Amino acid sequence: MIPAKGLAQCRHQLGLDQSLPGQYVQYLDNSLHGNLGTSYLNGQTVGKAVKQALPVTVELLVLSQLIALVVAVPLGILAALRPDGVFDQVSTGVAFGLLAIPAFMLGVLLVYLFAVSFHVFPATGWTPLTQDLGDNLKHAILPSLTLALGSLAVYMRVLRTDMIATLREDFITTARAKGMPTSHILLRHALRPSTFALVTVAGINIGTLITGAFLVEFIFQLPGIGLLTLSSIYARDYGIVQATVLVVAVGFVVINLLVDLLYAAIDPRTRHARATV
Amino acid sequence: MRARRDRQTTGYPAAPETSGPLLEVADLTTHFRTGRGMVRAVDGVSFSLDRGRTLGVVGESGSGKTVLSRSIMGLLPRTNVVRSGEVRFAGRELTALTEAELRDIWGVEIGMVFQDPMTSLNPVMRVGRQITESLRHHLGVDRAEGRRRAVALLDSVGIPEPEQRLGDFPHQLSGGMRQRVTIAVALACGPRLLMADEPTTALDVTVQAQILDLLARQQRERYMAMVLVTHDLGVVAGRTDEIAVMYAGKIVEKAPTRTLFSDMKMPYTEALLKSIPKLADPSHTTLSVIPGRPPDLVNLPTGCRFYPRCPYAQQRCRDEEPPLQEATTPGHVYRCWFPVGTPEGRDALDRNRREGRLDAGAPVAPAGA
Repeated sequence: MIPAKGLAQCRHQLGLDQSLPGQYVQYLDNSLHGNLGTSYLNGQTVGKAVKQALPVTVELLVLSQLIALVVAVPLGILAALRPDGVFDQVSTGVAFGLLAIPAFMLGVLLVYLFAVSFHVFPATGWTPLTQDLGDNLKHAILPSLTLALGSLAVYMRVLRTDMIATLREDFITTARAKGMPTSHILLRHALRPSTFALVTVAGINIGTLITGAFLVEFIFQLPGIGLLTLSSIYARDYGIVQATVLVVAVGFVVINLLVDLLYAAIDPRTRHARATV
Repeated sequence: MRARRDRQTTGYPAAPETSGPLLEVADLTTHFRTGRGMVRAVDGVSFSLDRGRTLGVVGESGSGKTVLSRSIMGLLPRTNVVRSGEVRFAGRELTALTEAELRDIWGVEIGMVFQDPMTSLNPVMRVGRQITESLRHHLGVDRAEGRRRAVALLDSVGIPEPEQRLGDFPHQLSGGMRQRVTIAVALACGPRLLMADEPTTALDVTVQAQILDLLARQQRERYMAMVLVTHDLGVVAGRTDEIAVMYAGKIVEKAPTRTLFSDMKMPYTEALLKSIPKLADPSHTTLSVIPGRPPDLVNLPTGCRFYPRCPYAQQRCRDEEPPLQEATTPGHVYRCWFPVGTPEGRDALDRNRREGRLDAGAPVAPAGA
């Protein structure tokens, strides 16, 4: 039993005796000043907990997206080169297969294959990037792959569709009539104008992947934002849950801002919107 | 001259010189397999073109003129195309070449200008790059030399401040300027043949004349041969040596330009010419149009392909396809049983007028229209 006096003192310390709007304003004020509060559980500042967890999740996201794009872009281009050709049909089949497998199953499957059967990569755990790069990558590769495969299928399909449309454009005929080699036409002429949808989809996808990472972090026991959130929910450590939700939301907004900026980089027409009539 | 010099300085292999015509097209046929059936877009076309000469190819939309120009180049879709016939260019048979071999001819020996400058330039690539990339690829010039030549090219096609324009994207230029750029692109490697596919159709009337004059000047200065494809007889009138009129995939009349206008034999040519408004006409004169529309290239009529729309059409035109026959002027050929300006033609036209019919069922235009 907690004495009534101690309870009141604790409530006061946590600001729970203020009105709800008052608490909210206080929270906003603190957050904007970088103070996300302290963990109810162990007294550690929330900021510190998030700071430790965030790099893990960010690395996971970055790696997974790198893998997805590095594989999806060439495959998408090749599939678009001969629509409904053998390569296109096989890659489409594989892509839909990957899309149909849920991440938790894919993760377990990868663990079984690479960790249990062949002992190539560790099944769980994490080494921070700053400590040992090789070890870090070893731990990161399976979870990144799990996260990547779903994105990969989507990216490939989206790029393929746009690429097919671009290859029908007049300026591609112009490039052909100039006698430029096919690889040059695909990479220098067709790829960039075909990436608008890909960039949009990737932006939204990365946003949702932040939560997708929760599952993967749980499966592989990675000390990222996902695992932090999940364990905090179980422990009813509301301060941390609040903070991770904030981080995810900010992350989503920042990524979509970057996507908008990327449009301008890809398409000069959006930069000079005023110049066109 | 410029083309020759380029090739020598860069060690580019010169094509074998022959004394014959630069381009010889013989019985060229290009069909497309579609869900509806075989589209006979080009159906047995033959002509030849000498160095430094200009051939105008005239026809309505859907007459096969654009497919003809692409087919000559070999610039066709990879699948569902059936092409036969011969295309000899500078002594080489283009139809026998693989696409990889054709790439050494495209842009280098044969340049192409397209219809719509709004869509034929890459929207996300700077103008300079679009000109220099073929120079660098084909002639192996370095960055600085490519740039220097691009400036000279833009200057020669009449673009002010060429240095600045190199860094522009196509959307920063007007339609006329863009078409000048596409011409510069086509001329970059000094081709001996320029295929211009409706180069002025998408442009303002005031700009059309400028672009046509530019093409004519470039052609003269570079001693290039040119195939000028258009639906507008007015465009080719003063700017070609010879005109081929196409209808439903076939050449229906071909003659030296002056002859074609003064002594046309094919009723279709006459109808095309009549459909051009004349300054001498009083205002509010009803424009003479060709009734009906070009035939479906999947289900072509038997006999003459123009008979359903022809004011001269007789039973024979339905039954038998007229062969290409020679007129009195050398180089003048036409396909017609009842040619314009002959007693047979006059009789046929009079008979149709008396009976108040035209084979398509539309009323016959009053005499003198």
